[in-house]
Amino acid sequence: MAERIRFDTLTDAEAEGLMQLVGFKINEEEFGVDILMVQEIIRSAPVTAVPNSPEFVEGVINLRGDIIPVIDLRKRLYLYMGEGGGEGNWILILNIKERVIGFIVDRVTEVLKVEQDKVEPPPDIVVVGLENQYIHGVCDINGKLLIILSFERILFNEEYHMLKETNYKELSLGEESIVQ
Amino acid sequence: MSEINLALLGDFIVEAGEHLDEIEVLLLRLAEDPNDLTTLNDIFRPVHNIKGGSQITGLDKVSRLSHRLEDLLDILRQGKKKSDNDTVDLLIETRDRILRLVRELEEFQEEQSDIEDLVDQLTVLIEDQNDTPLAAATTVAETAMPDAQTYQEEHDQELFGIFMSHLREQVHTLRQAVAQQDSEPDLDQHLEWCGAVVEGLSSAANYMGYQDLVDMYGEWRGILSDSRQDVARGEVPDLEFMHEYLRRVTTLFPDLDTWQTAPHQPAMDANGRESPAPSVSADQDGLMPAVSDVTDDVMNIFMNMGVGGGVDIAEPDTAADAASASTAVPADELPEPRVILKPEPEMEINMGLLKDFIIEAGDHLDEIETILLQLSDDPQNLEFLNDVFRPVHNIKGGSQITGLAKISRLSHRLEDLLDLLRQGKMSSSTGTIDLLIDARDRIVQLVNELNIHEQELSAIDDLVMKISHRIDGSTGLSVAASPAIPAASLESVDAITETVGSSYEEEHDQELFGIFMHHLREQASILRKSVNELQKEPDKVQHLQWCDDTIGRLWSAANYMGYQDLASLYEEWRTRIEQASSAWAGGGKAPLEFMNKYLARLDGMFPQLRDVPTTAIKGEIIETVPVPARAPATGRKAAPAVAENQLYNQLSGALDSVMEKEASANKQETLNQVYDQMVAGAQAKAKTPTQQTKGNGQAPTAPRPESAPGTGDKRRVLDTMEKKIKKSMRVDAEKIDSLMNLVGELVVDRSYFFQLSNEMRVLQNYLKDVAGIDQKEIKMLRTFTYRLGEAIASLGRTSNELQEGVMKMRMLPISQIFNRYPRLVRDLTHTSDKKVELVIQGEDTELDKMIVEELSDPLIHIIRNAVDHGLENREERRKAGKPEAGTLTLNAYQESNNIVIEVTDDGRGISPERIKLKAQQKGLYTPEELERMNARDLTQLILMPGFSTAEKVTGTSGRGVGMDVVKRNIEKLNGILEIDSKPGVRTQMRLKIPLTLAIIHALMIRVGRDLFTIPLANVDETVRIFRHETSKVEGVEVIHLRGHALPIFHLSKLFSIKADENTDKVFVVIVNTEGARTGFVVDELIGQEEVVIKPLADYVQEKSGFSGATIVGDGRISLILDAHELVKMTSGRQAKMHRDQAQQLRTRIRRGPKRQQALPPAPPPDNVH
Repeated sequence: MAERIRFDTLTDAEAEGLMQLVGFKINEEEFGVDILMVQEIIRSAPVTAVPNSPEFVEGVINLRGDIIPVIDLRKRLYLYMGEGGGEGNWILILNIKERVIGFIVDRVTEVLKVEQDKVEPPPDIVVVGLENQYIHGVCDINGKLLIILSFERILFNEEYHMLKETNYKELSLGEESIVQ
Repeated sequence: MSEINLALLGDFIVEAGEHLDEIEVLLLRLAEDPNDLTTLNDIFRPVHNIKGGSQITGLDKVSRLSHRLEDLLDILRQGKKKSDNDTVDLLIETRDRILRLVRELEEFQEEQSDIEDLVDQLTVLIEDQNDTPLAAATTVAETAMPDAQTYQEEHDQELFGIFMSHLREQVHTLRQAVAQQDSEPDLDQHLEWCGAVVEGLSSAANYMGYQDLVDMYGEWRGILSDSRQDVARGEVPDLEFMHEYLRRVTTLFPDLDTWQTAPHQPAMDANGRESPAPSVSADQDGLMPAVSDVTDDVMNIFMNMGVGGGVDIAEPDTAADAASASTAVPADELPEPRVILKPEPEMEINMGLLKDFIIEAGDHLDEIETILLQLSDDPQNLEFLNDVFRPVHNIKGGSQITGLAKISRLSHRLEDLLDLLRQGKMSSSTGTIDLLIDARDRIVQLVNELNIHEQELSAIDDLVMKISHRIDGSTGLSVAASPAIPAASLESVDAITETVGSSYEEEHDQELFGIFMHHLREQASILRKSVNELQKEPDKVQHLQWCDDTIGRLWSAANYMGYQDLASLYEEWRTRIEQASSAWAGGGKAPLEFMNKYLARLDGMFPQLRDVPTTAIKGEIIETVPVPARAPATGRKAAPAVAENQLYNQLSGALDSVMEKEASANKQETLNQVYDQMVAGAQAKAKTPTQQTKGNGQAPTAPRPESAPGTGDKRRVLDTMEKKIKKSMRVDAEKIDSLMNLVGELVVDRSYFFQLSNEMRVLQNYLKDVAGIDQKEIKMLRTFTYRLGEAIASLGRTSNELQEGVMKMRMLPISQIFNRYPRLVRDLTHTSDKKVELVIQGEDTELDKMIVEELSDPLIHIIRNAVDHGLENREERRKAGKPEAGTLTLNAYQESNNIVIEVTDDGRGISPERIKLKAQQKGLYTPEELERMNARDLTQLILMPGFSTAEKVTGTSGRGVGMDVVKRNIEKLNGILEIDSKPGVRTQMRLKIPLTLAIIHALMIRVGRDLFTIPLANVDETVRIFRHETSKVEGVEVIHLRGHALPIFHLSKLFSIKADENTDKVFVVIVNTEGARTGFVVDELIGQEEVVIKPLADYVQEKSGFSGATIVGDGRISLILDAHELVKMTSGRQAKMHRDQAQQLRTRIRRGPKRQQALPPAPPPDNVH
């Protein structure tokens, strides 16, 4: 039933040529994700680390009995900033092609309505240090640049496999003992 | 091409899958003993079910193929042909083809594979023995003329068979008549009779939709009637055309002639009897074989149409003439009464099938009930009618094969009725649906009786008759034919009379019977008229004489039909008339009520006579029933005239009440309903009138009419019996899964409570010791703690049982997969010169459905390996002094919470030397490494990817991709694969699989602040060691345990977790993977628990060393260790370490920076060493 309603909103929004986005921040950059993808937004849940998992996987959380992986979006997108890092205590629970995944962001701001024709394709140049393959498009909101992320790519890009392989291979054991 | 009914397809695919599995098992059994009759019989049933299902679903190929298969099986089981290995091979191939078609249907919703090759092969086998009429009926038609071929192709196979047998008879009769036509004294009569027969044929062809054939018959009849006119003018017509037409029919259906040798040739032709004695059929009552029953029923439809149509065309008088004329034809020219294929007195109930049937029928009956109830709300809904057809058909099929005469007869009639309804040849009314529901209930009752007594006890004739009436009504026979019959009769409740009447109807040749009935109806109507007039007739003697003559004619007809009982009734009647007549003649008076009595008895015997009176009484034409040529209202009220009969009184009482209701309430009430209520009233006898006056608008399904005269008690009994049937049920697997999940949550909650209870105890001690609370007050607390503990223990017990129960629901016997392997082994050895005897043990062992499915493939690999590589060929075995046939044993048994499956062969075993050689060749290990390995380790090497010791790659195995897949699959199930081999003697693969996947017994441990879970299946033991007890061998930490060195790894290091630092003692959990033992150092052992496994996202889980996670009582997550993966990780690192070591000795650089990069959260400083 809930889905039906959501679907209706979608068609309405589409009819108006509007896109509804959930806006959030990492560092000081504004990002957006299609509201239809967002299952829920939670604040700071205890994250259990999973050793040997890809680096950007922060761990897993217990979401009402389901175990859901949580990805640190900052790490995933290599948006490292200075020493401190962000607050990082909001978790956006997204449903990406039937996979439910949590993404840690600094702050969730607001729900934005964006006219679809105002969304421009990602520029060729690197935006705020972010590879453009993860960008669905950009648009201007009150003079500020809003980056609409493509979470399908973020999640399913082959890269994480590679990452993991490297991670795994380089990890060696008992180094200390050898040295000893 | 018929349209595939997609709504039914899903069900069909599921069912066909099950049937095909069953068939396969049975076929393999058959392969061992190709002439085992029981097996043949057993195979027949699923094949028949597939056939039935595919026909209804509209699957041309499957239905054709399965039909041929059925034909062949039938021949085999009747012993008309011996089956050999080739036959069995063909059967298996056919089964596989059907399976393939079903797969295609599943995937593409269409049948793609070609079946003609198999159909041809089957046909050859079937034709091989051409003395089987049953097979010939369908076979020759197919292989002969293209015309016949298409006739055969396009249409319902069963119907076609019936059509053929009808055609065969009629043509045979015609031939005999034509042969004698030159010497025929009364040509006109002869021609007229021929016309009637051709008419009948035409109807049948029309019913089948063979337009060309119908046209030809029309032409034929035209010439016949021309000839009759010639005869009327005194000319002698040339009758050569008769031969011509017969030839044409024979060309179209060449197999007509094969009938000559048919064993079921009419009894009277064979032994010259005029007609079968009724005694042959007296104990018919549903006991005749299903086939002839089926034939009869459908024939009935044909004949009804044929005769009914004929009457429409003919003048009333001539119709009567035609009827009597045809009865006058010499007996041996008449179509033989279709009695019984083989005079088997009784159908044998197949007890082996009965149980299955009862279960299946229960499902179907439930389904039927649901649909019927929906139908009663919307009687014209074609979809429901289609839906209800299928389960009815299934029940019919099942009951026929199981040998349940009554159920099969009833369900068959039901099917007939439904067929008419769904074809729109008849519109369904609430009355019809009530009848359907009645019939369904009666089948339920019969099934219950079968369940309890293994016999069909209840009578079904009343219902069969009612349904037949419905069918007759729709096809317009009985009513149309006798417009002048006055009202008089009502249904008799006398069960015996009814049975007799219905058996008259059921058992005899339908056409003959139709003619007989027609005659009877005419005569009875005349008789009735005269009886009514008898009272006021002055010349009673003459009138009685006239009655006597009529009865005399009736007697002749009855005698001709061989109805001894009826004939003696007439005789008795005539005697009475004679007495009365002489009394009147002598000037005295004699009571004449007996005339009515006899008429009533006649009506009781032939309830068909009743149809018209009902209409007459109603006095109005019913529009909702599509009965052509409805008799006009006569306004005659005959019922009260026969008041003497007590039974009759009751019936008319019932009728009156119905009529009153009619008059006051609902003029639109259909004839069918009136009729229904009459019958219901008659049956209910003692019941209150409320039930009889049930109106149109009332929910017709709510009070389901009692299937037999009875009281509420019986109803209750019926209900309880109905419940008893449901011994098994199908449940959506998803529902069970979600229940399982909930149970999992409950288990978690229970652990939480348990933990809380422990905390309570701690708190209690704390209050006592630290806070120093008074003993008295602490007592209250202690009591509470105790009671809490009790409650939790009770909760634990209940949830344990619940968990077990749910788990049991998911359990399937391993035979589900074991049964597939005989086929596999057979296929594997079929082309080779190996002989393998497969021994299956413990196939009843149950385990989780999901595991059963997951196990199938690994076991196929293992068995393939065993047959291909393990077992030697005959030659080698002989040389080795072993029996020629190798033995492959599949064994399953339960061992605590695990299922152990052993696949053992007595073949050549695994040679360690060859493994060493291979490993070296493939560069997997150095010779030194291999030297260090013991036999057990070496054996494990075959589990490595790409490892194969086979000298050459065979068609099925040897590429080395098998065993590592097996291992991976088993590990996925948290299982263990062990190989035990003795070179030259045997190889045993031992799979140890947990009973269920969802919940496992596990050991909860702590490392640092994190909780981890290790499946108990992997845990060999736990030990507590002092840190100084460890030593290093080649850079790997080991402990010495009972004289053996055991490598240990710190989980904290593997997982980069900060471990406890200040303890001197640590715990080591020793896990056993693939026979190798490894120790993992942990900080604390928390305890054994049952945990619910929750999956981790693939990219999180992959190569992480975890197989999932579980939620602990307080909501925290504990990762479940994948011991195999972990050990692999460590050994991989070990190997790498060895390689690196050498390098390191030279250059001790390079590592540091890289590691930094790879592990951003820097590992905790290792302070252990």
